[in-house]
Amino acid sequence: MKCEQIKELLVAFLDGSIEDSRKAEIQLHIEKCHDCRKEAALLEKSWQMLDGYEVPKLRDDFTSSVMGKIHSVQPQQQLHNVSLWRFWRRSFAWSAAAVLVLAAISSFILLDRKPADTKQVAGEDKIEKTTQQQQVELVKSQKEVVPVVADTDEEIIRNLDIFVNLKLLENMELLEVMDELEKEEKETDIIVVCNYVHQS
Amino acid sequence: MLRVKNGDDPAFEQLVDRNKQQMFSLAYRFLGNYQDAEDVAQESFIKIYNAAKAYKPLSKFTTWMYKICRNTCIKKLRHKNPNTISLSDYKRSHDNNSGIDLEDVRSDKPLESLLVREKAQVVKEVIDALPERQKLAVILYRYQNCSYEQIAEIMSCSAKAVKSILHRARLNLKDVLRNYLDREN
Repeated sequence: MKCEQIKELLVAFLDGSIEDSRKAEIQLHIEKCHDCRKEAALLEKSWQMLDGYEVPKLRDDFTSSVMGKIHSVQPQQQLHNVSLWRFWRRSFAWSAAAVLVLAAISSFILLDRKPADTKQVAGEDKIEKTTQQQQVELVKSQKEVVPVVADTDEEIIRNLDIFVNLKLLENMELLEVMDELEKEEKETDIIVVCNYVHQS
Repeated sequence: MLRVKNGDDPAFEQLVDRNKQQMFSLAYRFLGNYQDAEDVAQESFIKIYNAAKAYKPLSKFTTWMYKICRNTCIKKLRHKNPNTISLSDYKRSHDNNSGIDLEDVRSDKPLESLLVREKAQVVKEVIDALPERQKLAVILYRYQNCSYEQIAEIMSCSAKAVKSILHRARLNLKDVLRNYLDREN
């Protein structure tokens, strides 16, 4: 082998990562060739010289400083991670909840009217009775006997609460979907953070 | 790290205590100054804490830790004014005999410590002058005792590429330190 080829293989030779068959050949060449021997020695010494690069010791309160920054940075980090997409999703969720509450209140007001004033279809009548039955069952389950026809303000409010709960129960499926969406948002945020960390 | 993932803060403090010097060493040798290295080490641990919930033990924790540190170091370098000299500039400025004049020294002990300090400074300057990838590969291999595979993961390249990068780095170091070593001999 020529000196140029030997010099290319010297690093691997000194590292011990060269094949045995070539090792013997290089060893033999170095013993005979002054230039290649000098190159090998320089490579070895320059690598060993790196031992001299020492690192100062880190200050003792480093860990407490990190923990302090984590606990003060955390709320800001959360704010930083809220995306516009999450904001609109939350707005939609709250709007949907507000609509449900309004629907519940209007249903309560409509149901409170006397039956003689309205012309009722048989089907609607059935639904009204079912709703009233549900209301009574719900009230009984709360261990409080509340008259169906409310007289006092307190009773009106209590009945309103029952109706709101009822409407919420009827729309439980929608609320469960909203909860799932919120969980997905949190997972997406974590993925965004991780991607940010990896990309940066 | 799995305990940290479950929200165990004391476990995270232990993790920081155990790994802070290693993290700092990598940052210090990569950036070349104490303050920047400390900032990077702190920022890296904060990132680790925030990303803990998504941590999956697919590789060694130190590999993941060094990868975060490396990214933070590079980000730090991009923000600073690049006041570093290249390897060719270093070679040009040190081709003349600009070292200490050994004959002027009066006693041996001061000479020894002076030589040691000068040597350390020379090594620091030479490593600082290496191209970024070579510098990182040398630091991880020589000082952090990482394997080729670990370095490959940290630098997002193959193990073969790491060997090639280290090979070139060693040749560069030899060329740059040739004059200094010849003077020493």
